[in-house]
Amino acid sequence: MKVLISGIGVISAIGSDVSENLHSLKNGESGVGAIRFLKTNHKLPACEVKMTNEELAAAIGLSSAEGYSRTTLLAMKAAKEAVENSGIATGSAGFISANTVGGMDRSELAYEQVAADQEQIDFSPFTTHECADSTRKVAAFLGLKGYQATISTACSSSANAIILAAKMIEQGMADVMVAGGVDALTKFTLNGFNSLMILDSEPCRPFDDTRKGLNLGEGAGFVVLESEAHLRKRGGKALAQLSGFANTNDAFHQTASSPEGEGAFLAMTQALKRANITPEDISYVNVHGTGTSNNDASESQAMLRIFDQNIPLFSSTKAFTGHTLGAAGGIEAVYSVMAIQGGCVFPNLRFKEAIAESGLVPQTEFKEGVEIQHVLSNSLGFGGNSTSLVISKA
Amino acid sequence: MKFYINGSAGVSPFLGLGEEACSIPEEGSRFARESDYKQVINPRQSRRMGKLLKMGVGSALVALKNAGLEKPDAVITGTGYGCLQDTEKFLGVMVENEETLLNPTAFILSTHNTVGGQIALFMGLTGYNFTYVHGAFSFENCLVDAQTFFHENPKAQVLVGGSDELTPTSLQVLEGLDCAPDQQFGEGAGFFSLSAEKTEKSYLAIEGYRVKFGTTNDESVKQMISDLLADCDKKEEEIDVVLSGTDIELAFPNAETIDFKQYTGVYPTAISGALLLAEKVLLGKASALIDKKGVERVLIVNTHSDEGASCMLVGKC
Repeated sequence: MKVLISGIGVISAIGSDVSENLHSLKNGESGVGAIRFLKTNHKLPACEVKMTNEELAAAIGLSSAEGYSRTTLLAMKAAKEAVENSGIATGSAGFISANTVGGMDRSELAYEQVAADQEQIDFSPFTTHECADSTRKVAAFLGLKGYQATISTACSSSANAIILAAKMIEQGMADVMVAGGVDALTKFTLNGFNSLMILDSEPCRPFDDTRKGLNLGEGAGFVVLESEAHLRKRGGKALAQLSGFANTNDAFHQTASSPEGEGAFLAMTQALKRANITPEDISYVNVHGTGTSNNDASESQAMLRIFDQNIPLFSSTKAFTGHTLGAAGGIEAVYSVMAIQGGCVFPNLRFKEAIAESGLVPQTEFKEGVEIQHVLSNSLGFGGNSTSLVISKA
Repeated sequence: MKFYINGSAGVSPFLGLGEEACSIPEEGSRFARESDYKQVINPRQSRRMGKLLKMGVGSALVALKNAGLEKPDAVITGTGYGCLQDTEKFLGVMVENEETLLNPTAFILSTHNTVGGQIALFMGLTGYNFTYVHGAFSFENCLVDAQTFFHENPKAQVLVGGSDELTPTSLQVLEGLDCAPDQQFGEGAGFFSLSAEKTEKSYLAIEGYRVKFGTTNDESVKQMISDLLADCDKKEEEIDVVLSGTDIELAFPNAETIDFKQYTGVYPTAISGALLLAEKVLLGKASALIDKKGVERVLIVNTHSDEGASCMLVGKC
C-alpha cells in the first residue's frame, strides 16, 4: 500500500512556517546567530527559533504559554500547520512524535532549586519533563484521537517516528497519521555538546574540510502520512510519497560513527531497496551533515560506498537550521517534500573546500528547475542509530 | 497479535536478575533488588554504567541467553524517564560549576536510547533499534512496533524491554508532585525475547494485547478487555489471575485480582514488571506473593489517569 504525504509543517530558526523556511532556504539566509532567549553563560552561536514562548502560544491561539514547555509549543505550531495543510479531519488520526530531552527547558530551571536544596521547591515544572508530555498535549490540542507513540533515538528520533507511522499505515493499522518530532534548545544539550567539544564557535560548515563542529538548533517538523485509499476517499492531494525507509545500527561507539559509515550505509542501502530503486534514481540527498569532523567524514564514506563516483546533488541544511536533534529528521523530511514540490535543491552554506579523503562537493547555490524524483534523507544519532527515508514524487 | 516468549529476564523489587522465584519486596524499599551484573557485564564496562543501564542491558543480555539467542533481529526498548541518574549527574555539575568544567560521560549516557544502543554495541547488532518514551505506555509502544516488525519479518526474533530507574532526586520530585498517593514508587527492567512463530524455546505466549489513548472510564476499560478476550477467543472464566494496575474494579468468575504495583512499585514501564510477574505466576515461581496454583492464564491491566489504558493476556503455550 502506498504511503502518501499530504501535509507538511515546520518551525525552525529560519522561519515559523513552510513558506518562511522556503524563503530563507532560497535566499541563503541562515538562522545561526547569537543566543537571545536561552539563559546561558556560553557565547556560542546557535539557531534559535526567533519567537518567545508567549509569541508561540499566541501564534497558535493559546491564551498563555504558562505550563507549557517550549518543546510542546514548537510541536503544536508545526503539527498544526501540517494538519491544516493536509486538510484531514483529525478525529481518528494517530500521532507519532519524537524528541530527545522532553521538557528539559523547564526542568533544568526547576532543578536549580533542587540542587540548592531550597526549603520551598516548586516542583510543577517537572510535570512537563517526560518526552511523552509534548506528544500528549499536541494530540489533545489538535484532537488527534488515534494511536500515540513517542520515540527517542537521539538525532534520528523524528525520522524514526515517520518510519513507524508509515509501517502502521502500510499494514492497515491506521489510515492517517501525523509524524515527526521536536526539540527545544536547552542548557542541558548546549553544555552536553559543548563538553563533547563538537560545537563550532563560528557558524558551522558541513562537509567542508575545515569544519570544526555543529551549531545547535531548535524547531519542529511534522508530516501527515496517509494511505492512498484514505487520501482518495476524502479527495485530498498528495504532496509526495514516502517510498522507502530503513533503520539500522552502526554498533561502533556510543557517540562516534564508524570510519566506514556502516550504519548509514546499511540504512541507505535498505531504504533504496525498500523503495525499489537504484542509487542512480536518487535526485537529491539531504545529508545528516552536522558539521562535526566525525559525522561528515563517516557519512561521506557511506555515500561513496553507495553512489561510488556518481554522487547525486546533495546538501546539508543544518548550516541554516543548526542541528535540531530530535526534530532534525522531521524538519528535513519537510524540506525534502519542499524540494520535490519546488523542483529545487537547497544550498549547503559556507562550504569552500572538499574533505580531503572523500572529495565530495555539495550543492552550494540554490538550484531551481531540477526534476526531483526521489530524495534520500539521512538522520544519524548517538547509540549508533541510523535512519534513511526515501521521499518521492507522488 | 500473538507473541511467543522464548526467554526473559528482569530486575524488580520482587526479583533479582537471573533469579528463578519471586520474593517479597523488602519492607519500605521500592528499589530493584541488588543484582549480580557480573554474570553478563564485565566490571570494567559496568563501572561507568548508571543503574538504568545496568538493569536494562543486564536484563537484555540474560533474556537473550535464556532464549539461546546471539543476535536478535530487532531491539525495541521502552523507558518513561530514561537515564535519570546520568541526567541528574550532568545537570548537577552544570549548575554547580556554572556551565564550566563538564565531563561529557554523563551526558553521553543520559540519552534515552542508551540501553538500546548499548545492547547493539555489546552484541554487534546492526539491525532495527528503536526506543519508545511514551510515559506509562512506553512498553506498549514496543509491543506495537514488534507487531509491525513481525508483520514484515514473520520468522524474526525481537527483543523488547521496558526499564526505568528511581533515584533520590526523582523520588523527591515524584513525592513533591504527589504523583501516586497511597502507593510506592518503584523501578525495574523486564526484557523478553519474542517471536511470532512458536519455536522449541517458546514457553509462554502473550496471547494478545490492546492499547488505547486518551481519557478512559470503567466502561471503556471493560470494553477493551472484552475486545481482547474476543481477539484471543477466550472467555472470562478462563482468566485465573488479574494483575491489575488500575483503580477500576475488575472481577472475573474464577480469577484472583492482585494489584501488581504493590510488588513492582509505580513507574512508567511497570507493566514490563507485571509481565515478569505474570510469567512467574504461570511458571509456579510466585508462591511467595500469590497463593493461587495451577494458573493457566493471566490478564494484565494498566490504566493511567487521562493518558490511556492497555491490557494483555498471557498464557501457557
